[in-house]
Amino acid sequence: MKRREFVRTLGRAGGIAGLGGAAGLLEATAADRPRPAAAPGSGYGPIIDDDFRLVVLHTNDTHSRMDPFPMDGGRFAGLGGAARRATLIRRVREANEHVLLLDSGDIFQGTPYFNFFGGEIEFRAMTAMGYDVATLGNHDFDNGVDGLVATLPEAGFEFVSANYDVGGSALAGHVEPWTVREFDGVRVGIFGLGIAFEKLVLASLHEGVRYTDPITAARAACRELRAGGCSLVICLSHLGYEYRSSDRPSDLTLAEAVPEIDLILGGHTHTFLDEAVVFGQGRTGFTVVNQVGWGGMRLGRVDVTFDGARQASGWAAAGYDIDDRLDV
Amino acid sequence: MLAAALLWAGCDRAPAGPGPVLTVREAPVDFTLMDDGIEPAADIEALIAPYRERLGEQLAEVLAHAAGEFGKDEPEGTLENLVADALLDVVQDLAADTVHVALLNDGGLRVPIAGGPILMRHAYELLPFENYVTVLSLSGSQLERLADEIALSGGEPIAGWTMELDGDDAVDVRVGGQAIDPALTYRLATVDYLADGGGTWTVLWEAAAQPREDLDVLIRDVFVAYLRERDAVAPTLDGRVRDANGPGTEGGGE
Repeated sequence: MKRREFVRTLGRAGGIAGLGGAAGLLEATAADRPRPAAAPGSGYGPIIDDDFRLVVLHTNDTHSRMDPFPMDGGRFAGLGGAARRATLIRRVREANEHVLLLDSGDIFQGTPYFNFFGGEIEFRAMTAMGYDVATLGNHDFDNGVDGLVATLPEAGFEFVSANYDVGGSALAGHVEPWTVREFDGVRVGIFGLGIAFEKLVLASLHEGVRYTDPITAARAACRELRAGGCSLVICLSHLGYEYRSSDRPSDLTLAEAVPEIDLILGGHTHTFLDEAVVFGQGRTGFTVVNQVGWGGMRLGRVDVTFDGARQASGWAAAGYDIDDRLDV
Repeated sequence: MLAAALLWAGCDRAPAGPGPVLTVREAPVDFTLMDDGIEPAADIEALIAPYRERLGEQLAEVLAHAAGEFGKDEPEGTLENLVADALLDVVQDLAADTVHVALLNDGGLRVPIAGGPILMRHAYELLPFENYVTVLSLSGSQLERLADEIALSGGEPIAGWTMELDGDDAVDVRVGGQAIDPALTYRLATVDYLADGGGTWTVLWEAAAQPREDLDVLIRDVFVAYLRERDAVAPTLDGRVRDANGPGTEGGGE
């Protein structure tokens, strides 16, 4: 864990008010930011001013929370809500040209919306919000492979999983190991990783879907995606953030083992990371790990900038907490 | 409140090697977009509304009246007893043959039940998982070992059998008031999640490999059926799981 660095958090009063639309943002970016010095002795010069920004928005473990948590005095009362999240997402899209919207699994289970309607409303709302890609969490199998497949027509977005072998199941053709999105010539590869089924998902519920080693699958995915010209590789992980046993695959062991990944957007452990965790020696110079709790209470955001050569040049991680104080 | 984390790192894409490769600087991420508040998106609200309405009607059904609060406790709790009793009662109508005992897990009971009307909503909150009832066959000696595993966790929801917890061991284990006969076969109702590798009870996994009777009914539906048959249910403790070191009050607690 020695390469793990916690990067300081800056408050909202950081003097960033007044940055308007996409053009304004880029202008301010070039003018306001100090240029970092080159790493000593590395032979690399300072980064080129970024002229291209990709905004990656992400959720995980939304668990059928269509409505804000009820105002019952509970710890999460008033937080979340799909309709508020939709507005936030749309405002980000208005202000930025290139936006990806991703989910790291466990869309299903947790409220009677799922028990009664089988995930239909979850998928329909995510489609209306413009989700691009999601991976599968263990609870997405709660109605079995057949229950998931039956609901997939409502999902107007892609599913990726590189370590669930779905070839022998009804999910074949519905879930691919990875997908590639292109933004003005910048190719972004997105692959998924799922958690081991053992003790989590009954055999009858994941019938025909085989779990394989996530690290091996991640390396293969990175190889393919880099070979395919991707200058950014994102992993949607439902492995979990961290475990007591380092033998158990987690987002942190993954970041250590596969530095070719640029962003690991995690799930499963419902971890509210107040600061993204950064590993500093990846292929593009960084591997950023983030996770935004659960229940749609927070929308994660990682901005990645690219230089004139369309190579990733920097990143910023942030999170929007969605609560009733935001209501008009 | 708004910005959970906000940071900016420029990097020089140096290959792996010693020395700093990250420089932290302020992020030009725009948070002003939340300054005017976030009104719920009307189209998403409209999408959810009909589902919410249908849900509201179905979840408002009154199943029975609770004469008091049902809560979890160790070694025995009123909530554990209610759900385990419901399982053992209803399963007799569903299974091919007599079922002697029932076992569930504390972790599967998600919320307490307050006194007053018990609504369908509460059944879903208490038992949200899609777990199916299954009936396993255990030898008397397996049942005794299972009781020891229950003792390790300080008591679990059971019905039809009783035991005394003496540290990590269960003693005086009885089925229907009778001492266990190691040579007899007992039928135990539980849920597929626990039988098929969830939880920690290895004896259940052993028994699940033997011929078993899987019932196509959810534990939640069993609970709902049990309540619908009754006008009222009252919280009860009857010493089915008791602590060897004292009656009730000296028990494990929460």
